Amino acid sequence: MSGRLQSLKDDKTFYQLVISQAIDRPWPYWFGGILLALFNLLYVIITGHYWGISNNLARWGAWVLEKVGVNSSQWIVWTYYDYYTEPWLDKQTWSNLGIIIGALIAILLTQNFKLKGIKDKKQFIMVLVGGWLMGYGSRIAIGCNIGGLYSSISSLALNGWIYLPFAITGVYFGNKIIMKLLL
Amino acid sequence: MINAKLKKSLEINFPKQRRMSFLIALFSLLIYICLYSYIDSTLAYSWIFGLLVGFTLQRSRICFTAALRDPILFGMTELARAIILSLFIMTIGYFLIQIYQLSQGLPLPGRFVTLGWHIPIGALIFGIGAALSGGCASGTLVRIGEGFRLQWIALLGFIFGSTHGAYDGDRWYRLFTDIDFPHLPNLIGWRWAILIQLLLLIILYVLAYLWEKYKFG
Repeated sequence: MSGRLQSLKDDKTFYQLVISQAIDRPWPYWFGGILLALFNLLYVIITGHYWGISNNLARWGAWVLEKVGVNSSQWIVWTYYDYYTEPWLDKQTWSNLGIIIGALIAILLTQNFKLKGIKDKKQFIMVLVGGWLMGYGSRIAIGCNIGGLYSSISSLALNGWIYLPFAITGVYFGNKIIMKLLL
Repeated sequence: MINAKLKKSLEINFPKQRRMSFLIALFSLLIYICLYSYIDSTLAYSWIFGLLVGFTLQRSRICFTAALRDPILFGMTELARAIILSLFIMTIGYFLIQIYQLSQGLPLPGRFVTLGWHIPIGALIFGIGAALSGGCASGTLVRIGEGFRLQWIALLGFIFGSTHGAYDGDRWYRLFTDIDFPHLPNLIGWRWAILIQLLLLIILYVLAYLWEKYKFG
């Protein structure tokens, strides 16, 4: 037995060995990619729905507006695709919440959780504007990197392949802008 | 004496954050049961699906924006290749599911968007925003779970922008063309669709691999 394995065996219980090998070290990208595909396929098989994120965020915004008196549930946009619904009856609300809590569970498991603050005003504005553009862009293209790209290409949809080169171009220009702003 | 030893062992094997993680996992299971029994099974499955995806994305540090950015900016393609691999598996899976669904006369699952200029324009704007905010839609959610306060701002911006986009939607969707069902098998036939797509993914994978080799020698 190699020295490394021997030493691992010496000072750790089996439980600790499993934890240190499977949990403490990050998983390789390819492993994550395969798991992601399997979970997605299971989700499609069981529910018949594709994975999406951003439609839901538009519905949340519209729902809040509706509550403060804007007639947002009657916007023409809802006639084009999908549906308008109460946020807690929206499947994407639950998958989005699940992603947040799943990541929280994962990072707590490795004991790396720490609240991280905001550096300065510049960062705050950059991220707010960035988020806004992401939201606006994904509404126009009817899909973010998940619904418009990952789920689209997966389901043999041409719209996903059209989305890809322009998303890459956008990310490229976005990074150019960041470098201009930070230098 | 034994009690102290047990306590110490518990402290080592189940440190505070790990205990919290088990507690939240248990609580999540409870939410699943409630959703499943009292509201709707689809919501319950979506919740579990989200948990698994969030866990996977966090553990494997997969970020879609980085996958789009790193090959061009830094010449690193390991992440991009992992996504391509994922898409390869998904393509085969979706292909089989779709064929089965059709043979049973069931609805065709997938994400089909009417073609038109709104897709390139929107994708471009989305890409710029993703770079600026430092994370895509899934990455933003994962980072919120990891404790980044900054990503709450990104999510808030995302919701504002999405609502803004929904308000403007009708104007943009006038760019729609007649092709409202861009399912590749619908356009070029099943055999060609699966062949071309898988071949394209393989070519992209090999190109990414060679590109990294070229960049780093």
